[in-house]
Amino acid sequence: MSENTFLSLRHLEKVYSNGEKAVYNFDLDIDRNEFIVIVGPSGCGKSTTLRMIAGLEDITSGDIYLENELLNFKPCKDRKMAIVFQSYALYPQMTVYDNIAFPLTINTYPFPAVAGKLKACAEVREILQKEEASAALENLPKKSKDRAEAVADRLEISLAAAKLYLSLIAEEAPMSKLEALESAAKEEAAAKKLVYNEKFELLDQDGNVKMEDRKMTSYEIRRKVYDTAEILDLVPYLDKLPKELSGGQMQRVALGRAIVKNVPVFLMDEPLSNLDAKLRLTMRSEIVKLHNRINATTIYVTHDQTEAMTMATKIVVMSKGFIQQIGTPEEVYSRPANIFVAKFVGSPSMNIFEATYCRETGELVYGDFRIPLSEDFRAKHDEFYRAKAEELGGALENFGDPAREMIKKILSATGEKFETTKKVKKKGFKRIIGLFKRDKEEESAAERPIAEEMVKKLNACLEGDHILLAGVRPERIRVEKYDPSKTYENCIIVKPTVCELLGSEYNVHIEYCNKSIVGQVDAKEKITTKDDLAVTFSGEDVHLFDPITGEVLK
Amino acid sequence: MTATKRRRTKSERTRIREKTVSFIVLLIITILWAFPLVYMLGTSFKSDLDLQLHPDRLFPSSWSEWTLDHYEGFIVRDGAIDNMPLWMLNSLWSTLATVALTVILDLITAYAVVFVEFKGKKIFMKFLLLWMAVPGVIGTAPSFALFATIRNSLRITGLGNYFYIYMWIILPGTTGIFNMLLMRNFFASIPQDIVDSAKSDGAGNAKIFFKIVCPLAKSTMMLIVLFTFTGSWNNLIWPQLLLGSESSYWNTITVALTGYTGGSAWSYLGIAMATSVFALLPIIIIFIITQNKMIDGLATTGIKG
Repeated sequence: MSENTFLSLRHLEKVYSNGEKAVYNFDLDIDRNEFIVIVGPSGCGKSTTLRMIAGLEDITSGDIYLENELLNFKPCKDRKMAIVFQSYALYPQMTVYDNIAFPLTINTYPFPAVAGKLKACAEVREILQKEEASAALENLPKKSKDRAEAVADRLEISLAAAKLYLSLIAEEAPMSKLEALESAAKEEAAAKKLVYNEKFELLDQDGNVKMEDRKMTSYEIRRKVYDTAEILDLVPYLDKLPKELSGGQMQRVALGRAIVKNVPVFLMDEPLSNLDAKLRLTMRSEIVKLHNRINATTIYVTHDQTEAMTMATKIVVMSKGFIQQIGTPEEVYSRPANIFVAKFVGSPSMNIFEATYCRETGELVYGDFRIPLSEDFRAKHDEFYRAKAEELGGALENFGDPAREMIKKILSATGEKFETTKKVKKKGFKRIIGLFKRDKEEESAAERPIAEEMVKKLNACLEGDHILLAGVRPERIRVEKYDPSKTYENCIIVKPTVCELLGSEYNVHIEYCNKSIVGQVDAKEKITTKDDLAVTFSGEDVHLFDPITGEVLK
Repeated sequence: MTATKRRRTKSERTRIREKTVSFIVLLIITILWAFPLVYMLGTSFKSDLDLQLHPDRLFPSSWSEWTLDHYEGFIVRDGAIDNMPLWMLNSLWSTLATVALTVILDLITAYAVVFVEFKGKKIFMKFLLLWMAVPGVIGTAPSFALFATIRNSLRITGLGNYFYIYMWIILPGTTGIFNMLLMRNFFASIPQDIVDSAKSDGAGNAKIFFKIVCPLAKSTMMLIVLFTFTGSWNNLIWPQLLLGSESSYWNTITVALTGYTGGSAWSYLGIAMATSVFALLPIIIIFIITQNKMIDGLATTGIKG
């Protein structure tokens, strides 16, 4: 862990009480002000991870550090984090104001300890000397409590000073009265041997400002809530109940409740999923703006890869409890680490087809396409397979929990369905014996044949031709109208099956070798399903994946 | 508007038919249920003569036959007000204590069962459910034995005895599992996110309980108030057992009123009816106060009364 890592998640794992493992070895370092998006299909463990960070879920193993302080055993309320839920989770019986104020009313916050009387006196002295101060006394509200607050707001002084000011101006000689009060306060402070600086903050023996934890006064809370409401355009709704608000407004209240806490870490659990498409777009940029404005560190969970791409400074792609890749949006998009990431990120998703790798010619063959591969590819290819076969072979020799986890991780990337060992329910006497005996052999049985098969396949790949998964992004597929007068190289001529006009461009679906391929074309020219199209792509744009482990080769 | 009326669609006709049928059924049921109550009310105002001559009428046969004699009979004795206010007071404080304790206990238990993780939670719930199946009467004899033994061995007498007896009247009434289950069901319906978000806002269990969960549970609380109030106010057998040998000042109203009719209610029909009406009053008042909330509560806890 580097020194300036802000939030560090070390080998987080979660096993639910029913034995199901939701998160495997989640390892992530987060710097200050980063916008992390954890993205993955539903049920991949992303929300569980977030809940573990928030402290709403127990951590089975692993550590969480916030500024090098271990958080594992801290209760949720002491973690200095704010969480926004998909369901907004507003308190239905409270108004918007109370909802936002709730965290402030129940927590204590550190404030510098102040010699209150002296400070108030000094402030009032300044005001009394000013001529224009009396303008602040016009049109005051009737209630005495509100009056002091209004004066405090207008003159930008503390509430205590405003109260003192109001009581003094009722007197005949306010200045002399003030001086009497001030000297009394000074004597009192001297009697208690208080040391304070020019701002009347109390100092300890080393000359540092003393801090005290106290609850906010209702005046302080009101100011903070109004400030927050102003940022989020919620002022007109402060008196309403959550049920009277629209989805977007409720979302903003939930955000407000998070902001008002003034914590360094924001956690968001699919906050935009309940909004309609248009609102989602605006809220997306709102959240990013807010993130930049308050210098927060945000961890954002979503299943929507568009949100991930547009908002994140760093994306974490998860599948079936495993991290598949961590990287900036560009990295994840242009250099996917495995087949899962390649398929998941991007819309429309990457075209994947099973191409044959010709060892002799060093070419990739798919139908009529022939894609030449670079010289050093063969060496890289061989090295990759040798290393993988060795790794898996080693795991097979000592087949334990780590090896099983490795197999599971590989399967999470390739997306192959894998049935975990279904425990055969024993009956009667055998069941009672089974309660006391843990059959390790039997449990690992399911993964072992898979691993064995993988090693066999990997070794086979070292010689002869075999299949590789080739992926090309839709926008990298070059589609143009077929012109008989031109000659096309390494091109196929097909009719599209579907042409979807998106406005500025077409999504053209073509059928080739029983595989649907999607290409994106500029919509300058009109394309219909009757047109012949010339389709090609360059070798540079091809991502190659190993079909057995799903990992990227090129 | 044109004179020709649009013919109703089939679904509209079905709906109207369904509404009519259910209205009629409800009306019949309501009349059946309300009839004895109305008869009770009417009879309590009949004069002695009318009671004999016109038992078949709901109300007194003529204006001259209306009388408050039966009410006077048990409220006033020898020109002064009888012990009625005292009994009312006994009933009232014990009932209110029962209601308050029940609501508090139910809230706390339900909160623990729903929101707090502890070992043996499932077994605890199963035990409570099992307890529901045991009829309350079964506990009467052992409870009374315990009650008497403790009093004898501690030699509780005088005013202490009064409070001791009322403790025995109040406490058993507070442990109804049914009410607790009502509350539990309601708590279980509160979205987990709300509680989670309160937790991350910095609230501990106490804050969540008082500021988030309890305000939401108002209507269910009202429901429990109504149930408990009725049950406790009408409670007869157990208090009668405990108070039977004590001074008549100590009686609850329900116990005291049975004294006016005794075993032969038939011969004092007027008084029997009047006392019944009288005893019903507080319950009707409570029902009027709680009914709006109660319907809410019934809807949210998912039970049907």
